[in-house]
Amino acid sequence: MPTADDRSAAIAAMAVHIGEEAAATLDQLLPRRPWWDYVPAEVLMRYEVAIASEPAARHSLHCALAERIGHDHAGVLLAFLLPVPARVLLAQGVDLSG
Amino acid sequence: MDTDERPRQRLYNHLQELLGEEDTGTLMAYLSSTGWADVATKRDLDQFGQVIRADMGSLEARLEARIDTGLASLESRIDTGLASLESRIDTGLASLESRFEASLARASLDTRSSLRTLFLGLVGLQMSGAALAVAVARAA
Repeated sequence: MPTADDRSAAIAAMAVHIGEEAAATLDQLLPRRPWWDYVPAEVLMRYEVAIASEPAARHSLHCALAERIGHDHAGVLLAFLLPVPARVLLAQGVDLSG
Repeated sequence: MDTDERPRQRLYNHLQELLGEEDTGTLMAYLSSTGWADVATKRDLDQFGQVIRADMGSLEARLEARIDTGLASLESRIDTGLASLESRIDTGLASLESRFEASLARASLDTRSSLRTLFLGLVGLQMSGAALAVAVARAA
């Protein structure tokens, strides 16, 4: 399970490419804990949420990140990103605090 | 543009240079629009629930203690009130009994006096009758 230190290391790796200021914004907007701490399993099983998942886009992002910052850091960043886009969860009325 | 949106836009621009538009769009979509510092997690809610339950338990204990104290005080006041009332009733009954006995004694004395007067009256009447009878007999 990725830790806060892993998260910090991944963001530091991103800072090399996007700069400290943008990395600080990424740090602010990236969830503090892995997504499964935020989104209950029953929410993921909802039809509206399941069809909103974009595995191909997520895989593409993972590959693009892995090319720039390495597989380990890319994997950590993906673990901290929500399983479906935040806008989709919010639009579906999903309580992100749950 | 909103002040909070500017860093987000700058992040988007930097990511776009690094990852391209499509992957950047994907990454930005997975990010929060406002930041995560104020978003409660399940762990936060669990901790909050524990705090709430502890507070409720403490409140329940305090309420029980206050209710017990209040009931004990009320019970004590009721006992004191009943004792006072009982004492006043006893005193009143004793006074009433005393007055009744005094009145009864006076009535008894009056009755005896009246009976004596009546008895003497009757004796006098009989003696007068007897004297009258003797006088009639002598005259005849």
